[in-house]
Amino acid sequence: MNADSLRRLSLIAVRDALASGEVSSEEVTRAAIEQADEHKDAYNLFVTYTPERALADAKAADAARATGRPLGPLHGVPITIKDNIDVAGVRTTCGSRVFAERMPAADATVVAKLKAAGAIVTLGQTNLHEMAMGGTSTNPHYGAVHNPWNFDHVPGGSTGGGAACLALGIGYAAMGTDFGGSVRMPASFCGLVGLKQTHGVVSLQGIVASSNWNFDHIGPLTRDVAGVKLMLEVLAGYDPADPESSPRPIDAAPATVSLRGLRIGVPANYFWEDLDPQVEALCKAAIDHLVAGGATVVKQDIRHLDLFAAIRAASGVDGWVLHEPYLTAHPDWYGEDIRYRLLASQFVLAADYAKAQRARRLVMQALTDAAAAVDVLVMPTLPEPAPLIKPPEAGGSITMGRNTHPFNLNGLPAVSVPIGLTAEGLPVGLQLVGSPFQDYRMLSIAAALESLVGFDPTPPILRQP
Amino acid sequence: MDDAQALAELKAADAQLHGGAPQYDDATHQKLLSHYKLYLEARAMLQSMDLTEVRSAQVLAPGDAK
Repeated sequence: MNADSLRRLSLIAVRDALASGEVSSEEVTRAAIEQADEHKDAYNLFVTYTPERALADAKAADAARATGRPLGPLHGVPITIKDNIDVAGVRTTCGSRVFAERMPAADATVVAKLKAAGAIVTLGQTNLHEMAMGGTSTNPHYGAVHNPWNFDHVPGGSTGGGAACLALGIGYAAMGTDFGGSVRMPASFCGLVGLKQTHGVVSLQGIVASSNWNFDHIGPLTRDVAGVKLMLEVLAGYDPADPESSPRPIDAAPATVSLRGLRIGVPANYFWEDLDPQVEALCKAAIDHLVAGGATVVKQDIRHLDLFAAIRAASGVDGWVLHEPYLTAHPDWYGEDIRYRLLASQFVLAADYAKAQRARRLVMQALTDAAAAVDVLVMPTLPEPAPLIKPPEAGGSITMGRNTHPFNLNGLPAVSVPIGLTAEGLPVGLQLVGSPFQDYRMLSIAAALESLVGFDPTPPILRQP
Repeated sequence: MDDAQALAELKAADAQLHGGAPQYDDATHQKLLSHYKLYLEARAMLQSMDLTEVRSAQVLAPGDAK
């Protein structure tokens, strides 16, 4: 298998090729490094790039395989890590100048789990939106990440570097974090599958937090649904080091599911409003596929969603509290995009913050009730295709996370699945949302949709001879 | 709310928070204004909402699952 073919493999396919001895970890890691060497500077893919470490780890993985010892499910597979997830001994900056020299002494729990599973996690720390606080990944300190489907467009964020790497064939999964859609948005913009599992299922120990509020999740991006399922199997599990970790396992579910009789919840309000016409048409066509397969659409009016923007605005004070010491000492170390957003949040009154927390409860109730009434909720992951790259100080559209962030409020599992391309060749994703701990069932339905849609995650740049 | 009124409120909030005199200059206030206006819109909505139907411990929240 040549390097071009290797780079297009899914996570499951490369795992199997490694297990059968068809390829070695050194071969697949070299293929990733060659691609990264060619594109990392133009696309601003990494904050810290450590190919020599990855190659050494790959050789060690091949040596371990040669001993015949039992191996983990990701043995020898190169995976990129977002630069706000700690890897021991590798600079982890959260895409900021504030933490530019930060060197973690220990691995985040998820990194330790990936290492235990045999993954090669030392290719590099991928670029992101500054402090993981935005949806463009146009980073003022480490450069604007570009979208492999169209160089002039953003890849989404904040896990933009990881998504761009994966779309370019650099590694077979990207580890990201999702505070308001930061895994699902870049997945949608880059033609990938992105998972934010039930809150508490995957440990948050060892990430650089975006806020004090418990919106954060760590989640994977892969080229297909089977890939994120494998990653979830590796990453899930109670962690006493994370106070928000849950001991409850994800409910078991069959890998395949019949669509016949499934109830697909389609919100009648909020999530389907003010959409780009092409996004709307592609998402409705994807739902038609599900209906043709035997599913039934259930239209749902979900209450209180108009409160979401207010909750989001008032919650900004939590970010201010987290960043105040650094922002006060070195305001010019922050890009304008997030600097003024954080500074303005200090004026939020305590009563408004408390009301926002109560409003959050209302939205949580409404969304959880809606998800419980059907097998899965569906809506566009994003209201628009990837926008053009603008200067860092322009920030991102505040509507960008409109459809993703609500599910960070209540921890429901959600996955973005690519469903097609706009006329301009930009990917569009459909978001599926399940009930708590029904992650595997949600992914089974996502896999059924994926097989009906037949999306090819290979961008044009990888198809060129 | 128009920009002039929001700017006046922002300057007043700045002064109140920082001991009677605004901490930030006019140029900074202008940069803060669009974000502060979003907050003022949020405040108006939060002040008008009915919170009495909030129930407790029946929905998943981060931590409820323990």
